Amino acid sequence: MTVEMSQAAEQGHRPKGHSMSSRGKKSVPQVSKGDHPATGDSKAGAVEIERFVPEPAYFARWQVSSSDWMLLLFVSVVALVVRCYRLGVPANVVFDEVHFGKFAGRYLNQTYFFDLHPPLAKMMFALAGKLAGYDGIFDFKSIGLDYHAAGVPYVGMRLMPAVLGALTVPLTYATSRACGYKPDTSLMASLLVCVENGLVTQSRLMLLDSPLVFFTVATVFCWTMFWTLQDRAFSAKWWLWLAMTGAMMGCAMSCKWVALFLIPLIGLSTVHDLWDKIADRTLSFSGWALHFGARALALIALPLAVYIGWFWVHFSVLHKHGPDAIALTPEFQAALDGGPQVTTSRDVFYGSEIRMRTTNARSGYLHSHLHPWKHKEGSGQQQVTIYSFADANNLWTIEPAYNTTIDQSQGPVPVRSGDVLRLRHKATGRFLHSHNKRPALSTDKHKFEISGYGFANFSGDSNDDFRLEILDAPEATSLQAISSRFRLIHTNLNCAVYNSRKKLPKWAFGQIEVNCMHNCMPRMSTWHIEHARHPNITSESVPTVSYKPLGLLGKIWEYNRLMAESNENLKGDHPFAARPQAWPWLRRGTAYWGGYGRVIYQLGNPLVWWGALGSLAVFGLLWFVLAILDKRRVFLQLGGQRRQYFSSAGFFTLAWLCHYLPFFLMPRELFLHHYFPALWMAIMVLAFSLDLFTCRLSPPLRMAIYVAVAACVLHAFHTFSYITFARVWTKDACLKAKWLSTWDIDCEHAIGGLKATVQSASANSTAAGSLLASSS
Amino acid sequence: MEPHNLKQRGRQGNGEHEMLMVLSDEHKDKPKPGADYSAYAIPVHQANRTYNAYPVLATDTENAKCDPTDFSAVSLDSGVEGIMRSRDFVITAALTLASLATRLYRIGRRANVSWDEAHFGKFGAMYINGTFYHDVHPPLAKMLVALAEVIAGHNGTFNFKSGAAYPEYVNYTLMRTQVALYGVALVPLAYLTCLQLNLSRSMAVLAACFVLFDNAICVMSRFILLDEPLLFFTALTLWSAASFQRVSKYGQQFSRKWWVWLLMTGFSLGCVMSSKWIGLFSVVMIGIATIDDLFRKYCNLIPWEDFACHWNARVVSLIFVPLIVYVACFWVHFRLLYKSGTGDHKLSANFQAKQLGNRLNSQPFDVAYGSAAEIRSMYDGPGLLHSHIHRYPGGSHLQQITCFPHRDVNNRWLLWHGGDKGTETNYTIAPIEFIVDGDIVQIVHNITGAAMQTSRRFLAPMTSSHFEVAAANSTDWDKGTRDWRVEVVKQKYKRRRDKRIHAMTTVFRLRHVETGCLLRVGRQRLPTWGWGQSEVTCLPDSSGKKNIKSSDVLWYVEHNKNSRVPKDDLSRYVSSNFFVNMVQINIEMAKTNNALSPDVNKYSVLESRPESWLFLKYPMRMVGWSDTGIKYYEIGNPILWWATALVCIFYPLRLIFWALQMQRKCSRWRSLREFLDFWDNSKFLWGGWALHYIPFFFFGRVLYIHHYLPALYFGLLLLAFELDHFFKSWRRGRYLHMAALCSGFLAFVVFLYFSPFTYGWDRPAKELAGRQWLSTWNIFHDLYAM
Repeated sequence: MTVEMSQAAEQGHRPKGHSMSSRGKKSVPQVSKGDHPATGDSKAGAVEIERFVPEPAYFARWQVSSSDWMLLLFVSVVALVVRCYRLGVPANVVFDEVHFGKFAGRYLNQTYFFDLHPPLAKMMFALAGKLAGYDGIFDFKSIGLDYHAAGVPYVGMRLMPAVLGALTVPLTYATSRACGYKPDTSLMASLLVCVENGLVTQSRLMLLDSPLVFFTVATVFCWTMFWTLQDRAFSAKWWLWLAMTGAMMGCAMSCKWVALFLIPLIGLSTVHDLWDKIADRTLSFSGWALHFGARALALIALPLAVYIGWFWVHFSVLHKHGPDAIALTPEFQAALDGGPQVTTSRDVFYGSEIRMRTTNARSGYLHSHLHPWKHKEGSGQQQVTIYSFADANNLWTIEPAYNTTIDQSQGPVPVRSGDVLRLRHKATGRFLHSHNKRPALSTDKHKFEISGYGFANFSGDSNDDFRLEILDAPEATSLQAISSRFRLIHTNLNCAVYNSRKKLPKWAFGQIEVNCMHNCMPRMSTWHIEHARHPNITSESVPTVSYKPLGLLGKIWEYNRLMAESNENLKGDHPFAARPQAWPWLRRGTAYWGGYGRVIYQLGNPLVWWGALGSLAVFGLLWFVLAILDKRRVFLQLGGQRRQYFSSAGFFTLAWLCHYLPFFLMPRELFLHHYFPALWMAIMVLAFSLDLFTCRLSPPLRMAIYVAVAACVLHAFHTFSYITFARVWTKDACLKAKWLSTWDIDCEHAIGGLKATVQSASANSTAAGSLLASSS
Repeated sequence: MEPHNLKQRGRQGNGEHEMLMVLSDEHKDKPKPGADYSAYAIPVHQANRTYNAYPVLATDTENAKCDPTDFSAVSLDSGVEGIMRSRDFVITAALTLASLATRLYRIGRRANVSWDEAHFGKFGAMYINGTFYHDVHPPLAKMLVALAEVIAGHNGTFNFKSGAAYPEYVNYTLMRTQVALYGVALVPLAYLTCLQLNLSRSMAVLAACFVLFDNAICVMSRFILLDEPLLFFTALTLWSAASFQRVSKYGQQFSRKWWVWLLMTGFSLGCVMSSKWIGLFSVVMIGIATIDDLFRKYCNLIPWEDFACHWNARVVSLIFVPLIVYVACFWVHFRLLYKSGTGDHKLSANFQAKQLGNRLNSQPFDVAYGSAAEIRSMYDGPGLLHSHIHRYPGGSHLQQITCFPHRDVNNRWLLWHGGDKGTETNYTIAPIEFIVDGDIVQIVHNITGAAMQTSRRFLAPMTSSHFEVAAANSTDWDKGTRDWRVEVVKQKYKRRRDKRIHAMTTVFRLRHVETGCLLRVGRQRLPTWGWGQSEVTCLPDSSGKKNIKSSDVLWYVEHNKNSRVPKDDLSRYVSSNFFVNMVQINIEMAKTNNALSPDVNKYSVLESRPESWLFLKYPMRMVGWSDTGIKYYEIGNPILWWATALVCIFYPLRLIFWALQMQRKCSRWRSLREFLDFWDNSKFLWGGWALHYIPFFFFGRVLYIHHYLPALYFGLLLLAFELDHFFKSWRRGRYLHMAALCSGFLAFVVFLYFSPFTYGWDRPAKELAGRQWLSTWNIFHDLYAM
């Protein structure tokens, strides 16, 4: 608090003339030279104090010159060449192409599928496939399948991420220029991105990361452009770049949820901006509110609209019911073409046969079958479970409580809330029953087994009695199919029929455990009736009900909730999964594919990664030291570059933090490729830091340093190009490329390796075999 | 710790504060005479133009809507001395009396063990009879309970069974009274704290009345619980911190008074964190305030040597002193509990061997052939060598050998001679032979009679570079593969210079004679077929020297059973380190704490989540709810709780609003200094509330409504602070005393209205149905209970 206060106070005393409009240029500090502090630390510090009070980050306007256009064109062409080189190799399904190729096919077939990523990038693959002539029949079943044999236009499909990957390079150049750096530094930044092996690897394959990185970079670029237009608020260009930021952010979020980290980045940046603006007394309060409103519109409403829009496209295309749709709520399924259309009579009577379904979990129906409980402390009576699929064993008949009768002479009697009743399993005739025995899996004292009990000529006992409680409804409300949410309370044990969501062992066919729980909260003990039919009522005129199909927003909401759930539950044990702490120093890569004499192993350009990490550390250290020294009135200026460096590198360091730290909180399985958006941010800091440390050197020396850096990076790129482009190499070369012992590149695939030898032998024999076959 | 030059400087002008005053005062253009700043500060005439860190915040006061108020009519004397006047002693005494009356009224009414007296009364008695127990809370508060029991003449035999009637010889009233005294002290402490925080007298009295008239704090002060000491030490911390801040702001640095308050803060921090771990929030609060204070000093350009002294003083008082208190509590804890008890197994075997009556304490020291031994791995965690009738699903398909951390009959192994001699000898009559270094033995599972063996033919199920270790009956395997050589690595007890294997003190390796591999416990757990126990493998000879030295191949005999060898007192041979034990017991406390996780699908009458505390949604029944029993209901004073919640939520919002105003230079604060005075006085109150409340949202464990009480104490004081702040400026403080009187009266009336719950209600709860203000209160019926 107090720190902010004093900063605010310091800013308050900035002379008026030194305001927003002049800040882009290097204005002469307005402190009069006569004011030397008697005991100041250094004379230079005293003179240039004013320049180093914390000021809002701010970039000068980028005047795009013709040489900029030439360089943009140049880097685009180079990047395109690098990204498209040997695009057709390997002609096999690589890594996650298994998923994303398949999903592209599903779009072309318009059949529903579920994936834990939002739809945009997958739809782009579908579009690329469509344009390239993919028919959606090949289903990308497993890694290594041959594309040529299946006639899949895979090069066309891979071209899409390659082009997007190439476009990040000119965008990098432009971003760096917009931050106020000279063309040489900007060129260096784009070179570092261009020859980053990891980025190259992932943009050559059908993976979601290339579109994600592209849209992330585009968002940051648009935001930087917007910042250069601070002095021309509400001009057409200003609006354009602001809106573009929002739109690109929406697209990035529609590719992968990782892009959600753009929200804290852009959000913090905006808050900082508005915080500075409110100090500007020349801006009226309503003017400030206008600024606020414009940002809310473009950075909150617009991305949301874009996100929803892409989902709208997604659901419009995928309108057919498919096997994946079973996991959805019935309301969602009802909204798909060809989905199960449940229609049932609305009223439920004593004597009705019903099928009841768990309400708050998509677990399934109350089920029983002719098999006994087999667990140790169980009763050995008939099993009662929850089963996900519709089945005759899910049918139950409602009967009056033990030792009571219902007068049905006036016609069927409706079931009401508060009634005590019994449920008879239709197929086996047993009653739903509970007693003081332990359930199969839950061991708590307050949980009891539920079984099917009864035999011929036995009228049952009072342990078959359950009280029906309709939730949020007064006593004696009549029970209705679909709409009534209810609980079943065992009258003797005072426990509720409860879905424990635990999977039973093989002897219960892996179905889900249901038990009776005392003092149970309603959430997992709530049920509803999906099907009700009374044998005596045959009239066509009975009122019927069905599930209300979900609207667009309902579908989006449920789909996103499912995505969140599956993301949380993604706890596989992939051998190449990596936790975030291993990413920044490139502890190891990810093996994508291996073939004869070559592999694809996603590894970054180590020099770029380590340099980026180092420059982040340098920035952090500088920031901390200078902030501490400022407080003691010792002002260092970093050769006049302080504001420029801090506002640009500071922004990208913040961006890196926003894209990196949150991963530590995620328990789900993570991979190296999750680091790429953060890596791009770090690469920018690397380029800016290079500029900072060379800006006071003579131009030839600076050029020499740049060339040397470029040469080293290119050399590393070349060294690892074998694993990036799946080029054939030897085992010796492979072993030599292992700079770190933790890099587990599979050298057995290389020429001279074990697997390569086996493969070549088998290839020869099959070739010989096919030769024989054709000749006969 | 008081160097001469510092004393000097302190006397001549308490560095920071005066500079602050000078900088903020525009009219003064010369440094105060006597204060020598030139060595380290900017001359004042320049300060305003260039460096001014404390400018006037409202640039145009004439335009500011709210005109600055003159506080002089009600402001207190803010000098160092004389904050306590004679009437303050009278007020404090009166408040203490009132507090005694509310807390002690009918305190012995319910003659049964009530609420958590069942735990804490029992733990207190443990200190009297010396039995070691394990609990989630640190020992200080429980030792204070024990002190109360000692004074009340308890002999430690009554074990406080929940709900049981107190027998004749237990003077529970005196015990409750003593523990209640900590709760009594809360009220005068609230008053004294508020004085230090610059509240007006009447509002300070009001703050004390809020604490006095809160039903929840009152009812929790009436039983033998840990909450009273906890609240007391929390309040003490706040008081000391506030006093220290005042001295350090207006008084001399490093003066005696300054040191007293600083050390007092550290001491009470130590006490609060030794009472319950919730006290760690107080530590965080003081920590943040200290960093803030030091950072401000740093920015105010105080000389480096002064700055270093400030750092040193705080490190000593706020880090070392609390740590010493915490450690000392555990030291006393271990000293008092010298007998074996239910908590023994949580600590190391060495500790157990020291505890009187533990089975490890009394056993034969020398291990002889024919002994039944329990063998523990030196590698921390997996535990004792174990086998059971279940077999490996793959490999040799023989009986599994694992490591299991808990006591079990299946952990027992017979040590026989190697080769044929082992199976042929009758160990009940053969002459006693002791096992020495280098002997070859067979290790036979006591229950199943199968011997431990291994072979190159089968690899371990999880660690496939090692051999599988299994147990087999003589019919299943060749005899030669059952021999193991004992290689002594270390004799921890040095005085007996023999090569024998001793219980507890001899560390050895077991080398398989045929293959040369070493018995090793794996870091991996077996899957369900192995019951999640730790894998035991045999480490091949070929693996490097480094592996041979690691603790996972080292074993020792933890328990040695042989009826023919006389038992020894093992505490003579083993040594257990206090610090190791302390660290271990703290780890175990954390584990037990985390294990107290609630079932989200189960409704529990007692538990509540933090979001429900703020507005007192689920008060708690403390005892059985029969119609005739005396019933206590833990319900706060609703008016106070709701007002506190509103004030605490409102406070940060207003700060943000002020920050925006300051940023726009239209603040109602005349200077930053004036604002900082407000901030310094209220930061402890709101910060204390937030730090004692918000972290609970991240806790997975079972929570109860009284976990909110420390936060509530801060909140109640903040409520009074905000009233004071408002009424001081509103109409120039004309209604200040009136407001205090009215609020106090309202609190008192509501307290009386809910007092049947606080002092016990012995008629049907239905009769109090009118007091059910919210539908979630379970005064007479429960919404969810079945």
